[in-house]
Amino acid sequence: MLLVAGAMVSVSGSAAAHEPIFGLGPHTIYQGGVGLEVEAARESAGEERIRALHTEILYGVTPDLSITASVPLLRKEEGKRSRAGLGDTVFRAKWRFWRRDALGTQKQLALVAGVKLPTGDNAGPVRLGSGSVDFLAVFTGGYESRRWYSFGDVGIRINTEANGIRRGNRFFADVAGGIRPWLTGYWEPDLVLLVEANLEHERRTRVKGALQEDTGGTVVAFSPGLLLSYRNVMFKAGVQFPVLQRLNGDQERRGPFYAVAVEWHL
Amino acid sequence: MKARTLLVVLALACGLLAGALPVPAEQYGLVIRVDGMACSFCAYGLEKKLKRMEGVEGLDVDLEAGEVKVFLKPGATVSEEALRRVVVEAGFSPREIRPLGAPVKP
Repeated sequence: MLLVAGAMVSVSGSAAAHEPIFGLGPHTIYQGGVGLEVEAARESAGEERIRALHTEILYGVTPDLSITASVPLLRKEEGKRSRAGLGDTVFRAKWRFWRRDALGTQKQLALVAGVKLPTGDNAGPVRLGSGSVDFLAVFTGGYESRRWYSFGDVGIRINTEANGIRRGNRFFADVAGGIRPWLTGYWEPDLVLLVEANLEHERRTRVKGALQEDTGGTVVAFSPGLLLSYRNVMFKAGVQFPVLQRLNGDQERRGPFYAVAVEWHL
Repeated sequence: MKARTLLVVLALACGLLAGALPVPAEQYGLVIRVDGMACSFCAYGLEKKLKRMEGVEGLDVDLEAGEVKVFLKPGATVSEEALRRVVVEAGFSPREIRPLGAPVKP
């Protein structure tokens, strides 16, 4: 599947507490809170490789409404050609519309809406952006307790046309489970181990209305990860392994997707 | 008899003395039961907001008990309404609030 700069990483990542690394969780940040996340990611498919450095800022409008801006710096390689620069910027709003709190546990449901703006250069043989304004809608939920975590989300990214090219819409679904192997106190480091299953289905791209046969397909991935935090700082790391790839036509198979991040709540 | 009298006098003296000594600041405060706190990273916002409140000298978070001990400066008071609002703004649910040292309701 031909990688588009920021295609996957623009969906993953959410600077808000213990959440999936590759999916989107329901957490928000406290009212008036500001969070900052820096994530380094690497993905590849055949001779195509993308290295990304995302800077994401999060703000809590209310306890149940957070807004996020994510700005990527990319280095993209296609065979012997390469290019580096700004990718497409993503803005998201998350509304946690339902929550149930009990002693040491929290259940949450949230809706996420986002827009990807074409701030990455779309010209030339190696494109850093799609050139299009795309939209994101996600439904997500989660359960967390002192010991166990579980998350699930389903969503869609709707891609629009730019310069005669319209990339196929992407549907995705993720489930995640986690465990805190050692229950530690408030003033102690905290480790959570996560495992995710991620599904992506992308429809074929159209160029001037004509379907491109060697585009689109379905990928299922298995993704272990960890979240290590101390009070207001969290280190995240995960690897996404594609375990099933049903790609249309003749496409390079996707390799592992690596991500490490540091999240800081000011 | 003399020994017993002496013991009584000593006990009275200690009681008077304890009342006269300044009470450590840690004994002034409240305990808030908070639901929804599963981790320290999540609860950091609550710590930050509580520390900003006037009259608050410090706090301690017990994740297992779901309690936050709020230590007040001597003579300071904090309204229950203000405390509950801070917990809500932090993204959690406040339950009962009791003075430090008060027994826990069964």
